[in-house]
Amino acid sequence: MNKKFDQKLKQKLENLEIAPTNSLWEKIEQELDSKKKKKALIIPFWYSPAFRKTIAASVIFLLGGLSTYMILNTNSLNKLSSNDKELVPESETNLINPYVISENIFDNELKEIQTNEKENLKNNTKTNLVNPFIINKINSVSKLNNTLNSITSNNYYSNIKQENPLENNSNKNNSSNSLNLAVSDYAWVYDNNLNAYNVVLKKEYIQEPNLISSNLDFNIKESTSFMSLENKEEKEEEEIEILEIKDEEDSYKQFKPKVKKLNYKGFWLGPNIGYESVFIAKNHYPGASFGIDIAYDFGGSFGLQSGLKYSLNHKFITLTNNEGSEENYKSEFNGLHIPLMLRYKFTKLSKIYSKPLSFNLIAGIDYSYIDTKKLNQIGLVAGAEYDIFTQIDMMLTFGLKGGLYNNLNLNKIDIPENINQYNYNINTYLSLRFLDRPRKKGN
Amino acid sequence: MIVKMPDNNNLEQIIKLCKKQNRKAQRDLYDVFSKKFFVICLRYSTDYSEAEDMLQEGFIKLFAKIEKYNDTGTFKSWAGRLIANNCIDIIRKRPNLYAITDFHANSLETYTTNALDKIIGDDILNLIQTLPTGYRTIFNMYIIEGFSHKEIAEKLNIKEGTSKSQLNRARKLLQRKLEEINKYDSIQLNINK
Repeated sequence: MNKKFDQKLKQKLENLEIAPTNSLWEKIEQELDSKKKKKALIIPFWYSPAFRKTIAASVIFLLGGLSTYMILNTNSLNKLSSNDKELVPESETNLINPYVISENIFDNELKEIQTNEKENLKNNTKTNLVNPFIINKINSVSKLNNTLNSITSNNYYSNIKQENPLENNSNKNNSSNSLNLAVSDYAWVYDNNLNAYNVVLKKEYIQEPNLISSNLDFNIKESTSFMSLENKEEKEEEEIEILEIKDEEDSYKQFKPKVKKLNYKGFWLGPNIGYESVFIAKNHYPGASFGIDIAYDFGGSFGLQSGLKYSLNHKFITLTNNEGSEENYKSEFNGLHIPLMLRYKFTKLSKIYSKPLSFNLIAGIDYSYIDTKKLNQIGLVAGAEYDIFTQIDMMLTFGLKGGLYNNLNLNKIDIPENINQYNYNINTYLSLRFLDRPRKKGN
Repeated sequence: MIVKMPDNNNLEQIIKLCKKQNRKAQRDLYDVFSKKFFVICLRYSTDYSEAEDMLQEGFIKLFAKIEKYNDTGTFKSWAGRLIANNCIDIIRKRPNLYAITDFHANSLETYTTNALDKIIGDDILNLIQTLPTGYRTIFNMYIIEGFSHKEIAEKLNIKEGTSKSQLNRARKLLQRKLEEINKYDSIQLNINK
């Protein structure tokens, strides 16, 4: 009975037609026009909130790192200006390691040396100088300038110049570069006696050229040209007797510092977490990423970096089914990434920490498998990283990288999303990386 | 204005142009189908004004999604289903959709289909519009659109049993209203005699 009723009712309504009011089309047309204008006003992806958030996060990371660096640097300079101490040459009998800097335990000895030296100068006696570069708290430009001024005023430069096996006479008079050198000529040296790393003037390696690391990138020529600022006539008048470096070899062996290269050589490994934005077709999939980085640094500027990363990205989208109705759908693009990248780094020794800071450029390929869609991708990735050494064997890294991915098996998978052959992503991350380097004495 | 249904070739051409967002073609498509689709909207609404809002929104969606129409099946049924789904989406967002009307379906007599013979489509439409929203929606979805109770339950996020009971109530209520009209007409006829 019900079926008959239903059928009859349906038939009655089937061919029914009722016209809406005439003004309806105008309303529809107006709405279509307004939508068209909105469509025309679609802003490029780099103006999208997601992209701006990504950029903002990266800038915060970058500014945070730089600000920390700047603040610490300023504090260091302030301290130095109030505690500035004069450079004192060491007497011949003093057995203090001439390469160690910034240890208060030497203060007493240094005072004694200073007193002796002043007396010697007053009496115009001959002074045997083992090493003129003992410095307290050399952590800043001002201190280094003081140091070098003291050296030159006491006419210690000439013997060093003569004994310097790497001297290049062609640049002797190039004094314009000398101040820059004074600013940057540090070396990062491990002292076994103190079980600590210390900043040492690179110039000191003149006396022991075998310790010079090619990676330290300092220039002996320029060091000596700085020394040549001194007036030769004054030197002769002072008649200071200077020990030859060869005579000091025994004492150097006793305190032979172990030079660590600024650019680390070896493996490092560590976890990373980050924020990842995947842009697929017209949709942005925000999400998180986490994984492990592994790399090998060749000791110079180059290194190879790889790792495993898993990213979680999803977005709720509206899909139209076969019946024409809309459905909300959680579209997930979670996947595993295995990159292989070449690293190139610019390393500089921090004036604060006496430890290196690196700015790395990375580029390479990234294979990814989006497991929620069974999608294989291969991509080209590139980015930049900023390493801050917090310990001798640990560094904190801020990174930003982006990639363009080719969806390899797009035609073989059946997914409801309309995705293009190519998509791209941006990843900002924070890593803690542990270097394969012993921290204890005797490394 | 009388608009003739275009032949298949013309309709294909109109759809093709609509996919390119051609405004004249959109107008043509509106002219061809608006009356038909307006009835769908009227079935789901309580009055003309609400139905027009539904139709307006439905056509906007239709023009936006027309590029997804892939020539399988007739355009009329594809577009009609899209308009109906739009109406359902609008209704679904309303609160208290399935409030029980104080109505005792069991007390109704069983009416024959004869009552329907004497009534025209417009009146049936008016009767449907007088049904409570929940009844009306399920009645339309099941009887006119052909959804199963399972599909209705999924779409409206209700239990299948609710769908069945609401349909039963809607049907009985509609039958009673038809019977009342029938009785009234009989009285009128007797008076005229």
